[in-house]
Amino acid sequence: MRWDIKKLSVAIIVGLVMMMMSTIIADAVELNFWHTGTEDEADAIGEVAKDFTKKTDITVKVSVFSWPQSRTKFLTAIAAGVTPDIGTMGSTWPTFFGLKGGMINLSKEFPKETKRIVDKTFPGAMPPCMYEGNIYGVRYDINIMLMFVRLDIFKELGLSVPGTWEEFTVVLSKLQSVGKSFAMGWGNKEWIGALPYIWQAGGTIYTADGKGSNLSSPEALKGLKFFTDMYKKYGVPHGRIDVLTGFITGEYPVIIDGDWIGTRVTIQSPELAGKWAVAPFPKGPAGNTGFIGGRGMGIFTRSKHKKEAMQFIEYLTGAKVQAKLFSMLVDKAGAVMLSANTKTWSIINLEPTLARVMKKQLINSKAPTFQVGGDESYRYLNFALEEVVLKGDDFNKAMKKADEKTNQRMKIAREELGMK
Amino acid sequence: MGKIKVSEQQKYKHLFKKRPLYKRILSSWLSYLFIAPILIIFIWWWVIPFITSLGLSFCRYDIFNPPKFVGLKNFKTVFTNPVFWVAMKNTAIYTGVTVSIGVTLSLSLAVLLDQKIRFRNFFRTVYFLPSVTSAIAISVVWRWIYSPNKYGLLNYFLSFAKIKPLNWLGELNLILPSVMMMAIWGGIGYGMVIFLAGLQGISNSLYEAAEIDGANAFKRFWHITLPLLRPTTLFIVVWSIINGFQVFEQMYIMVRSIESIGGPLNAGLVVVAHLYEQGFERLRMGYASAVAYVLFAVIFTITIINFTLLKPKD
Repeated sequence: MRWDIKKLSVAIIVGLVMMMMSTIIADAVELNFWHTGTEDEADAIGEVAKDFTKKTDITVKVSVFSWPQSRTKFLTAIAAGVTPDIGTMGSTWPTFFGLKGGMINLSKEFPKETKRIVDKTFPGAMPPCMYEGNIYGVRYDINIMLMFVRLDIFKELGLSVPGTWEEFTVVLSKLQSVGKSFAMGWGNKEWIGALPYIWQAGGTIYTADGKGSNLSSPEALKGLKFFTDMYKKYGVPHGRIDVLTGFITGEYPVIIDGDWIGTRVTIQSPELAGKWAVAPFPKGPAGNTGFIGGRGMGIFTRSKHKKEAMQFIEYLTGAKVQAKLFSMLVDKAGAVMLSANTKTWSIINLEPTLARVMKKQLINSKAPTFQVGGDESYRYLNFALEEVVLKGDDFNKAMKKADEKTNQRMKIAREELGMK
Repeated sequence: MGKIKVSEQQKYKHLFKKRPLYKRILSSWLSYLFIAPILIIFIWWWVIPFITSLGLSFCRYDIFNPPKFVGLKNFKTVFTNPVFWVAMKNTAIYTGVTVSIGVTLSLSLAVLLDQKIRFRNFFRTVYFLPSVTSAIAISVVWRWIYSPNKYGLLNYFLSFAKIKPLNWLGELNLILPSVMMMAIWGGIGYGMVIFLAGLQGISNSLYEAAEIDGANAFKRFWHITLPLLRPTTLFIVVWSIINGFQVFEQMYIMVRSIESIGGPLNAGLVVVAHLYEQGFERLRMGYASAVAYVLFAVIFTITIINFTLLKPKD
């Protein structure tokens, strides 16, 4: 019996020591960071996080999810209550999750830090992360749509880089006559591709109060008509076409795609140096507004380390860290990660002409605003575009249907959130 | 005599008395221990979700808020939703074509490779290889084969026959046939192996007797091979139909666009993809569960019909 008491005492002491140890371990904060993107990007984030750990003793564990699985991962994590501290994701998602209670309102919980980040961000990049003045996310990165032109082929064909819709139409017609074509990579036959044309025609996708669709406005219809006519009249290819190869071989002497194409052409075809250029969008009746994509980033409601998470977000969005991420990704994967931080642009190693055109287009570009029910409604516009382009349906009827369906869906989404 | 019987019954009555369930389980605890892992997995990953899903099909549930009972509303929505019927039509076409062509080709291959030909085992392995490859890997490769412009492999070969590049996964009337072609290619190997096993069970003496009676090769196949392969055919048809109605990965990888899991104008939308999109992307878990149960009912009914029609005759 005495021996048993001895054993019990030892067990109690060991237990107490372990409890103390666990308290000490618990004091060391580890942030869980879920990244939507590639392994290379996650590695780069992990690498820059090491410097952050040195300064703060806060460690960051980075996990990565591909784009197709990411949204479902975040949704199920929120539902199960096992969220990370921080997540990078589609730019509108922090707002969507925020309104559902899954992510925090950054402008409410961390007003100073949020303001510091937003003040340095390109203004056109912020709308998806905000709703009714509340900011639920900040930008991790941005992507912009640009026009890439094969100058050598244009010269052969006697064409000049189009600056307006009218000039662009001349280019489309000439290319079609010689068996070549314009092609779209990002947003091919989809709402993302159509949106700049709506804006360039002076239209918007939502009404001013954000409660309904504005697709039936004459301006929006004008932009959409121009977009669908490219496919119908000028035989612009649709589907999963290999735009990059087509641009390199000269099949598509002018393309509209994401900024990343520039780096890929440089890496894959160095012999084309000087034979191609990047150009801003041709101007429509109301300007040459382009599209900003990319990722947003926010903090989850269930995070136990919100303050530390905000600290890391501010660190990660800093100009120097963003520039470091840019260089690491170019060197390692030949990928371009454009920063939403205006100050990063002066310290990254980007070819000067390319940087100048990109920045010029970036200032004239914007991301779509977040609206309740908006994300779920884009498919109706997609269906309308497909009905017109693929089935040859009547343009006005198709757009009217998309307008009505969008209004219905947005109304339901507002009702679900208890909004008027 | 009677007295003796009664006394013997009383003497051994403890042997005839049904023991309580827990005692019976305890007496063979080792057997239960062996089946426990698979039983737990089965209950946890199949029975519980099956029952939960049934409950959810009568609720409105968006994963953020607690489920709210709505009665049969989800089932009503399923049957009145035109998108569901598009998905069901596509699934039925996909299943009908892939099963009929797939089973016919599998049987033909099995009969061919049952002959004593050179490199028989090599061909059997080659045809079976796609069956042991992941559907996702196959779909990714085929997506590249189907690349729409002239850089796609299939279009490149077609160009030798002066055929213009086709937009295999972009044209409304080509989407479903393109995926079906890949599915048939990927599925015939499995059917072939099962048919081959069935063919091994047919005695040669039957063919010899038929040959002596003057039956030609076709008659031997029609009157001996086919009837004796009936149980094998039943298995393959039922298995293929169930797989056909549950098709998902191939469609998800090859067809989906940013905003639509079914591709352009839902030309490649199938029921499981519709269920996934509604449940996990649009957060309509109740509706998605109702779709799952409707699909279950369809598969169950078709399986019963198959068993009735193809059941081996005595």
